[in-house]
Amino acid sequence: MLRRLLKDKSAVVCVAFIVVVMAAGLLADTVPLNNPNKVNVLAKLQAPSFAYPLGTDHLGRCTLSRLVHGIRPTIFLSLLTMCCTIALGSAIGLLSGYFRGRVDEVVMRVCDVMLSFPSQVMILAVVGVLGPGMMNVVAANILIKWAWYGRMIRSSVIRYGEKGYVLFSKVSGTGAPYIVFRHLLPGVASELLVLASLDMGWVILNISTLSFLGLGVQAPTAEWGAMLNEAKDVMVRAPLQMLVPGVAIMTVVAAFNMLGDSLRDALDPKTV
Amino acid sequence: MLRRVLSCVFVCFMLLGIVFLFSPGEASASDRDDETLVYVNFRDIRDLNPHLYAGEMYAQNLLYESLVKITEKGIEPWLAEKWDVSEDGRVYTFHLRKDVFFTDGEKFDAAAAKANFDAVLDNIQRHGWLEMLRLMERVEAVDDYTLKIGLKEPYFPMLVELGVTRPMRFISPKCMKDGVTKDGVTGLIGTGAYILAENTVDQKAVFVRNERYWGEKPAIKRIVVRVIPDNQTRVLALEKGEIDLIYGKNMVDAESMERFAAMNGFKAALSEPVSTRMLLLNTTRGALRDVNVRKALQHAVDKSTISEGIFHGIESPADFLLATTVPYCDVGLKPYAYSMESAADLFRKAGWARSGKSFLRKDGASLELTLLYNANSVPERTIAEYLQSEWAELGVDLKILGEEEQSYRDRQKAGDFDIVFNISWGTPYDPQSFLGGMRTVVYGDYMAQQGLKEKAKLDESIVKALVSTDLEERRALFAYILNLLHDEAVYIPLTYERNRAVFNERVRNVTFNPSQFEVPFEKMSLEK
Amino acid sequence: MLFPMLLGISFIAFVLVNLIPADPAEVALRINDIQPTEEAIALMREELGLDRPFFTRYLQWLSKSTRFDFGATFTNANRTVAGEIARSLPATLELSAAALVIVIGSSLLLGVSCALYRDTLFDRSVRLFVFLGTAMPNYWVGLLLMWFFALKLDLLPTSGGGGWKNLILPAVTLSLTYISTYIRLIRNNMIENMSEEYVLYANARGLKQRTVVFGHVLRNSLHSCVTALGMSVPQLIAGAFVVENVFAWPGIGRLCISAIFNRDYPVIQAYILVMGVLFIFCNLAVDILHCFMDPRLRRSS
Repeated sequence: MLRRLLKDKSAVVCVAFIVVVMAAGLLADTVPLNNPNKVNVLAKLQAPSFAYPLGTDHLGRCTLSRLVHGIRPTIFLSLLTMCCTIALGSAIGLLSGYFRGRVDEVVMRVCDVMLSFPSQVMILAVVGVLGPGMMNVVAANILIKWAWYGRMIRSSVIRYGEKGYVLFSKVSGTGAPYIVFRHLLPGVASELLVLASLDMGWVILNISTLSFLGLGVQAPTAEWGAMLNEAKDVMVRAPLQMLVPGVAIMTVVAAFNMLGDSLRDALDPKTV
Repeated sequence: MLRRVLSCVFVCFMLLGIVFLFSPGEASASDRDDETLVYVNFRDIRDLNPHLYAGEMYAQNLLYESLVKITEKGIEPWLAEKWDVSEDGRVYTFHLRKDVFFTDGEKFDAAAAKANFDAVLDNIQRHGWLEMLRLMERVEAVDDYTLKIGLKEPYFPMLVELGVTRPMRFISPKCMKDGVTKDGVTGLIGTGAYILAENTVDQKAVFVRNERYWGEKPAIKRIVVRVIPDNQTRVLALEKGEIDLIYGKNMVDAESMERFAAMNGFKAALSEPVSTRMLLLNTTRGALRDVNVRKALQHAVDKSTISEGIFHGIESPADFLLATTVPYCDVGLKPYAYSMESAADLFRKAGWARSGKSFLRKDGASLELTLLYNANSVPERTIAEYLQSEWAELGVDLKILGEEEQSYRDRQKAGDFDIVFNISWGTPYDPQSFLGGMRTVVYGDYMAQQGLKEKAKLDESIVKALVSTDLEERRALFAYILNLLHDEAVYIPLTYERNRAVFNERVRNVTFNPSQFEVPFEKMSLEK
Repeated sequence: MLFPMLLGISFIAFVLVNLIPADPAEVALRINDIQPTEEAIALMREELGLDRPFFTRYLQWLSKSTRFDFGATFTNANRTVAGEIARSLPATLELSAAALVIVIGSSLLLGVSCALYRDTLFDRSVRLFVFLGTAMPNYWVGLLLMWFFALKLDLLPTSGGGGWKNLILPAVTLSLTYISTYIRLIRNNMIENMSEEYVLYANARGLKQRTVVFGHVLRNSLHSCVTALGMSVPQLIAGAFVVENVFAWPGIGRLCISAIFNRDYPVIQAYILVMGVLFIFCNLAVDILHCFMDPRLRRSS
């Protein structure tokens, strides 16, 4: 699968782009940028210049610097959310799919209830109860998505579980953990990867939406959704502030979406 | 199959149509005409009971009137034509106008006035901030148009407190429930120049001129108030001609003021300084219990940058809780100069230390404070973000928390904050009502001052100052109060606020009342 | 299945809001401007029934909710939660309905056209637009549209509830995310179906291209779309809260956001319950519609 993926040029471009962005996020502190939190009210809403390549925001902070520093909350928090969601969902899905029986029944009912619940409403509910804050938003997102992954993994597990070598392992008396980790997981992993990269975009959009509403990241942390929230107040005076973070979100999400598509194509060339 | 799809689409259209039927009506530009002024507010008018505090003050001011009116020239007659004060200052006799009717036809006379006073006094615990009511002993209707009010002690701000926007204004006795208003009123009937014609909650309210008004009828026949919570949208609406006037110091930011002042077809107006914008430090919380920490923060605020950068010079930097021009407030206080070094020194003195660029630490905890601001107020949010950045340089971990109006007030009253924005109340409430308000839970002052050792003495002094008839004694008491608050660094004054307005040129004679919360629509007119 | 789900949602809503730290008795006192002394709080707790055990409270709340009595809001003692919801829900439904119409109309049009003219410039540009559309945050699109149409061109009002003019921008913004999905879905389904054998057969029989496309291919392509569409309706309603916020559309989403910033827990609680119930009923309606439309399922169900 990897070979097929590498042959796809657009996938390679996407991966490269994402890697570059993440590296920029990680190295944000070491690269010589202006201090993203340094307020200079006398220099607010300036047009792009040499000192401030993308201009300044309503408090005189360097937009480019905030953009780069914003990579961390936007992308890495999304990654964290995805990892936790997948871990939780996979664990439950694997166990449920492998053991079947009563456990499976109960777990699937719970998943059904969770899935039938409108996700946006749940997010608002959790944030409403816990209060605005980054970790609360992450928790809310995990709470919503795990059921979906649980379901997906479970059906994959059941499908793989019917395969010859797994039945053979079972019959020959191999322990359950061994079967789960050595046989089922690798098969399921590639599907997981596709789902994850397609979903990554959704999570990024979700987190930035909540920050946009003021429910996620709190001041003064730079985050792309929060930057858009601040930019909308000065839309008339400085429209550039509104374009920059939006374009950033769009390109990153598009890259992840494209990657997901390519992965899916690489996994199963029949799907167009 | 195609038929099925088409029927689905048809059903959707039907749904749309049905929902349109039930949807709120058009709040369109058809509101604006030669006789209508379109105003804007960030929220609904809410509950316009004149004896309570749950409604918008500009609206209460349109509907209800007081015995006396507060103007720049002083106290003038309003519903009372003239009045006498007894020798000992304890009995006020008001001679009421004989030609005033409520808009439901009821006569405004001494009996109606007394009914109103009784209703307000019935709910006295709600009005603890108004010393006048606490001192009111009896209210008598001597004859049809004479009202006598007896106080337990002489009280020099009596007339001023009678004239404020609320609670002492008059509603038709027919609107009271069982003779009281604390459980609500059955109608919003006053004697004022305008009547509330309709209100679509959270969308728009319409006021029409009272055609049987006893005094000089205002020029504008109809006022439509649209509800637009977002600052940017309000500014846009004004620019596009959807509204005529934005009025109020927190409703329009300095940038927009400058823009509209320079724009063709629009004007901007600024009042004299009205009140002090400040930060209130909670002396009962954490690090703020130490007066040195509070003093350090005093030195860490660059008021001239705030004034220039955030307010574009419209609001001047404030060094004292109440400007020296406010009566009794020129007491020779020494300002806390802006000096990061002094601040750092004071932190050290208080035992807070930092290593390099980290936050200040003491006893294993870092210096973390939360600044509470009103999410609806643009200047408050900007100042909060500014201070967050500035104080981080000193090593103070300032978190900022924005909440909506109700929750914001709630927290203040509960004392559930470290630092919160506060304002003095402005003319005519300063200094007496503002200081008087510190004795009970009105905003956050009472709870925040609980950590002061001399709080009890402070409260007593405030009461004595208000009832004292001896000018020298009063001056001395006010001096003590202001000195104490200044030395204990409970308040960090930021700027002296000015009321402001931006409006379409067709609105004429936009002025400012002494009270910043009222909008003098009755003085405005529209150019045809 | 229906009843336990309803119960489950109501339970979640109740539990969630009971987790909050604020004391409802104290808040109720303060918004009425009564000093929260010890006795007053105790009295209020009794009045609100807070001293009773958890399940009793839950059942009480549940029974009151079925009668649409959610109590008064925390922000304004004069307004009931039910009243607030009754006021804002129609606005959200109106917005969602408008968005739905736009979604159906545009995606049918563009999806079919793309399938018919596949791999032309038109097809490629639409696909690019679709691709970017799913990547753009919808509130950003809303802001851009607002800036362009309401500010620069001054064609439409910037915000607020009202007539059809105020509805256009929010509805278009809301529909954008879904249009992208459906154009793609319709196009892919049609392309797949067009290569099926029966098409070849129909063509061989001499049927007009138009009949073949609209009569047969489209029919079959739309099947999965209708299902997906049905599931999107509740998503559309719930997801409107961002668009409502940007355009100050007085809907239920905006009510909830405002309640979160006001710590107005009764409203949040009622919002969860109402939306949950709405969801369940929408899904039920879709299931029924699905059965109705597909004779295969009808026979088996």
